Amino acid sequence: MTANTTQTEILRGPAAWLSALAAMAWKELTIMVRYPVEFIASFGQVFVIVTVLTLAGLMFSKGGADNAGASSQTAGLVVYGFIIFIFLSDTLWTIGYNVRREQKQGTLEQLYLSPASKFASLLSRVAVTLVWTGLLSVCSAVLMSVLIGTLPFHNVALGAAILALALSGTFGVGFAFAALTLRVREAGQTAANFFQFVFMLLCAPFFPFSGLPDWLRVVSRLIPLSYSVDAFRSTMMGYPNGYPELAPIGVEIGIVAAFGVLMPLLGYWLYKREEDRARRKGSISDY
Amino acid sequence: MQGEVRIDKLVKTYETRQRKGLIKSEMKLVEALKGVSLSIRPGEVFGLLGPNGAGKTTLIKCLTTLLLPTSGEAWINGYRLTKDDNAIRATVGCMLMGERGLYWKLTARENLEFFGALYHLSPRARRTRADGIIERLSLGDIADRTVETYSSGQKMKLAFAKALINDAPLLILDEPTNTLDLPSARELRAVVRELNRDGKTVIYTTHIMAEAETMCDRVAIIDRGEVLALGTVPELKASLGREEVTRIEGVISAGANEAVGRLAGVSHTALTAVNGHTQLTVVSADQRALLPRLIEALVAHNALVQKIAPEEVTLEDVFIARTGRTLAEDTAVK
Repeated sequence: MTANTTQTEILRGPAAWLSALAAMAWKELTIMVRYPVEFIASFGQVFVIVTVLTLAGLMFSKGGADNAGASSQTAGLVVYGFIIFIFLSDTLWTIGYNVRREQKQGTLEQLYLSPASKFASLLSRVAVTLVWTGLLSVCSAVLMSVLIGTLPFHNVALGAAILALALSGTFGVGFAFAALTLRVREAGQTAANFFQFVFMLLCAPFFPFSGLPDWLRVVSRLIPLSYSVDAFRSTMMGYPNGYPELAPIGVEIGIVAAFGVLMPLLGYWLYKREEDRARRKGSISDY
Repeated sequence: MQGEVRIDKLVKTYETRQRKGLIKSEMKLVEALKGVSLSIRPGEVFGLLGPNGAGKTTLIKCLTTLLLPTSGEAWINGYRLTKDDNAIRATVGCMLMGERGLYWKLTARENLEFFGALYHLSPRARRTRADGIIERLSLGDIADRTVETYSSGQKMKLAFAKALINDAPLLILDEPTNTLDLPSARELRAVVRELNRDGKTVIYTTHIMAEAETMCDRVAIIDRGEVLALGTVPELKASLGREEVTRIEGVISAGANEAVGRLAGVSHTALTAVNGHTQLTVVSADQRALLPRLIEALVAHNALVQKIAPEEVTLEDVFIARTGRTLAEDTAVK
């Protein structure tokens, strides 16, 4: 095993990048599957959460459960909001948590010893989230529509485009939280938890924005994720009367698009900044 | 040039937070490397010898791009540190942190193939390379078991295997025999020698003097972030000049050590705990003339002497002569 690496053995350019990304994503999936109890429990708990949230929502809706259950609009409002919520929630937890887990087990240091792209490493976690959370959100949507009512399906292509941009922005938030995790370690996860609840309140994924007090709706309007929720569900519901609630749909799509393009850049910039700091401090392998 | 390392006045300072009670804290500057300069030639096994906390791992982390140096320059395999970091990473095989740094839910083969992908090996090359390493290190029996089922020694062996996956011209091994039992350590050292014969340059850090003596072509003795001495093992031993080493074993107090240190002709002493008793190492110019006064000083301080013997100079004695401490003592970096 002398230094006999031939040119054909080494991948270069995009092939090298994609091959490393695929290996990283496959590694994440393999490890996930090898924790079967965690795998099943995390899958199962989503359905319990969904049922609890849905039933609670119905109980407090105008006219009670009977009235709300008959409404396709209520189903659309809650289910499409839930899809954005579950992606945000998983992204916040998964990316930062994985970075911290790898930091603790020393494998993050191994990544930094190699020439592999650090961006590919973050993306691999996104890929896993997309597969896993995508599956969860489809199953949850089916369950919720059984509990609440038939889902409205309008403007599917535009809805999918808005969702893609919203997810891109969400992944950017995930990168920023990964940066925060590098800085504050476990406390980053507590912050993610806090952020998740703030999102549940201010971005109104499970209720209309009109349910918020006026002064709180002002705060909601300052958060780009609010427009992701509003634009996505309004589009999928076929813009019923009063929707979108925060701004005309064109403006909302513009905000979601800007968020989807700029937030990943900002998130990755923050991550790179934190990575440089960790390299200066020697904290990449901090336990 | 492949396999060559040149380091010029490398400095690394850290800011560490010193806690003062519940809320208050203050930042303290720690100099982990104080202008280290040295050259490592292609094809040699170069030892970095020093106690824990001496700066060996900091130096290695700088050379492997994990740490950004505060100032100074270095060239690794012809690439300039901080400018060509990815080229350096691609051409260095590294074993740091022992058994940490492995995916415990993956098998040895999966780990090796995954790390091969990080070095941009094609899928076929990853498999071939992993198979070759598994065979060379006799990991065949455990290669398809998840790492979590391995013994500590097996994990260390796999961590070493991982350092070989990119077939780099320069291998950096940070205390690779830590936690290995004697036969496994011997086996690993034999593979390192083989790899060196195949043309690889090896940087080998250790705090075990005998290991440095047997493994390394040249050794740098490092302490408190500075290179204290550098040369071949015979050169370093010869650097003690006409000084000789006497080792005394028994029950010896710190007061007795101090009294011996004050005797005329004694240049350095070091007191260590070895296997339940204390060992006093005395470096002096004229052993024969010193002996009566040495015994007198020990007896005067109620030392219980079990064994007293002149000994061959070792690398540890070179370290003691330069620092007044043994390699077993941790260094408090100032």
